[in-house]
Amino acid sequence: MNTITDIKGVSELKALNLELFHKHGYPTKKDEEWKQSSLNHFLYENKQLEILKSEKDSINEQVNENFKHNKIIIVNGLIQKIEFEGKDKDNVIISSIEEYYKKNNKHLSKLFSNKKNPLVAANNALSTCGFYLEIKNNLDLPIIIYQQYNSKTNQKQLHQKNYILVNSSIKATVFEKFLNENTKSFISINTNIDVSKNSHFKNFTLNSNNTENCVYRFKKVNIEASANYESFLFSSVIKTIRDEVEINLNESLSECYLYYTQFLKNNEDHEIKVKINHLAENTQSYQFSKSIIDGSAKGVYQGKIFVDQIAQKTNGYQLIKSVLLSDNCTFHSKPELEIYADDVKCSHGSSSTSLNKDELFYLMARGIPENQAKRLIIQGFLSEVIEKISDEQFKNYFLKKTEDMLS
Amino acid sequence: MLKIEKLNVSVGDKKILNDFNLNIGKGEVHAIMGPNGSGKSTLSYVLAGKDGYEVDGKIMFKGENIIELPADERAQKGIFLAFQYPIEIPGVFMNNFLKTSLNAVRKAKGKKEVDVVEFLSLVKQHAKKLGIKDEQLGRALNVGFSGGEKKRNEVLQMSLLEPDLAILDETDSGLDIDALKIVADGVNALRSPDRSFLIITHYQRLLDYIKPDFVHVMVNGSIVKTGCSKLAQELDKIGYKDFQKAI
Repeated sequence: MNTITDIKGVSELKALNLELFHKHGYPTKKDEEWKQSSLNHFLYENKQLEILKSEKDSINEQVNENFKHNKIIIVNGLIQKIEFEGKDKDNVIISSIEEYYKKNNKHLSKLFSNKKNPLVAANNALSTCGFYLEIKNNLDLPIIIYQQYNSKTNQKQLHQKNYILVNSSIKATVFEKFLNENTKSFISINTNIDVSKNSHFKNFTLNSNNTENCVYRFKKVNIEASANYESFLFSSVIKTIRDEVEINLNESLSECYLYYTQFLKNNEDHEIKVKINHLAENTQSYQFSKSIIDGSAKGVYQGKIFVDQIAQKTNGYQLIKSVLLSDNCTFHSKPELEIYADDVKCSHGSSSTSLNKDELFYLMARGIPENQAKRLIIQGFLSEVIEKISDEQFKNYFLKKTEDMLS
Repeated sequence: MLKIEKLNVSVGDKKILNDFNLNIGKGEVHAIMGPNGSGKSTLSYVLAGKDGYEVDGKIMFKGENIIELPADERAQKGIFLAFQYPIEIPGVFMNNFLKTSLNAVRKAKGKKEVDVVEFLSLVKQHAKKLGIKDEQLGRALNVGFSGGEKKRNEVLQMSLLEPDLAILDETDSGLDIDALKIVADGVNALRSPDRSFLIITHYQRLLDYIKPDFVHVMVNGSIVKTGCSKLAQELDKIGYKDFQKAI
């Protein structure tokens, strides 16, 4: 059987990335972009992690959602099961990333383009698994990708590379649900997403129950003319995870909407890094993140809006809010604007506060016990972001998730 | 109903209430009037159980000293404070908040909690009387409400919770004449031989609509004069200067 390394184009690209990784090594606290990251500590402590050889493993069906949807189940980076409803199955192409490389070996360089990110370089060089999903036509139902890491292994590293292509004039929703049963492993997932002209792509992610592993998730999204990308990331009960996204608004009237909520407790930590590149005229970006931090947990949000010289009439917005519930928790926020065009509208705001005592008193003065009042305030705080989700079904799904998480 | 004895309240070095005494009988309506900074709002907050004050003395409510009780327990026992500045809480929706509050109070009183259907019918019935639209009930608590809508919302909560003692802290401020009438009608509809009111106000205007049994003048953290409803009319003419001078 052919493997990725048999394909010349791929092997060259991998070699270049390996060289890049060797040159930079693992990121350290001296690197500005990794200053607050707990990932570098984990990687430093576990430099010699053995690479996990992806093998098909048992599927955990218990986590399946019970509403109607199309299903892709990925276990340890390999496609295990595909179940699409009705004619939706004719409207997608799904294969392993290796198959995709074989069929498209002349156009791979953009999937491997990487200037200086050492962990993306490591992923590009070392990935042995992943999937390719092409959405060719409108789908009746959302796709849920169950990404499970069930090998129950200790101290291994796994590199997975995915590519999602949304063709022109499509409306599609993909929900990624992660389940991780390994321990002290490093999982790196690198996903390229291309949203073609006039398409609307919604990408929701549930990030929960992962306190035993170090996860680095990198997404690079390219958006064409009049297309938009909407993402929502819900995080709770997670530790040492860095979610990074780089968005290129490549053509006129392209837009992206990024929403985040997280609730971190105990010694959990989660880092969000966003870079939005406005590279054409009349593009729009919107970031809205809310975090509740408790215990000795740590949250980080680094968000940068870059506006190229030609990207006139850009509209960029960023609002980062956090509520700190204890004296020992921390939240680091680093909003950045880098603007080279002169006719743009960009704004950013960031605030970290404790729970509002006046709000608490108001609710308690109505007979609501303190704990319940706090829950209502927290739920309300987070739901302000969730209310922005344009898909009613998923909006209600995540509102319910938030309620369940707090009860 | 309420007996306040030698209540002293301070924040840091600043004393706000000085040996404050007040008796409110069952079914009585008392009004407290006074100049800015006399301690009226602090009194209402302390009665409702707000943290952040050094408090000494006795607050006897239905025979029990509640001075140590937290705000939620006081509300469950039947004390209601209509806020001068109702708090906006983004993301907490009116219907959810009202139902949670109503059921918390009902539960404490040993009553059966209401389900969604019962709740919606109850809340709509009360809202209609106060001219509150259904659309407002679907919004976040007090967020984007006008001054009048906020005050009406306070009266809506009061009518739902059916307290034994309602404290109205400058409920008339920010209301136009029509809204004042609607709010006053809402309050009057709740008057009963079993329910007492403590109305805090600067002006006599509200007392034209809600007739008090007693009017107290509060200056520098103490009551300096008590009279019947005519006292409010006098105050409207002469102001508080004479009382402040006397002290």
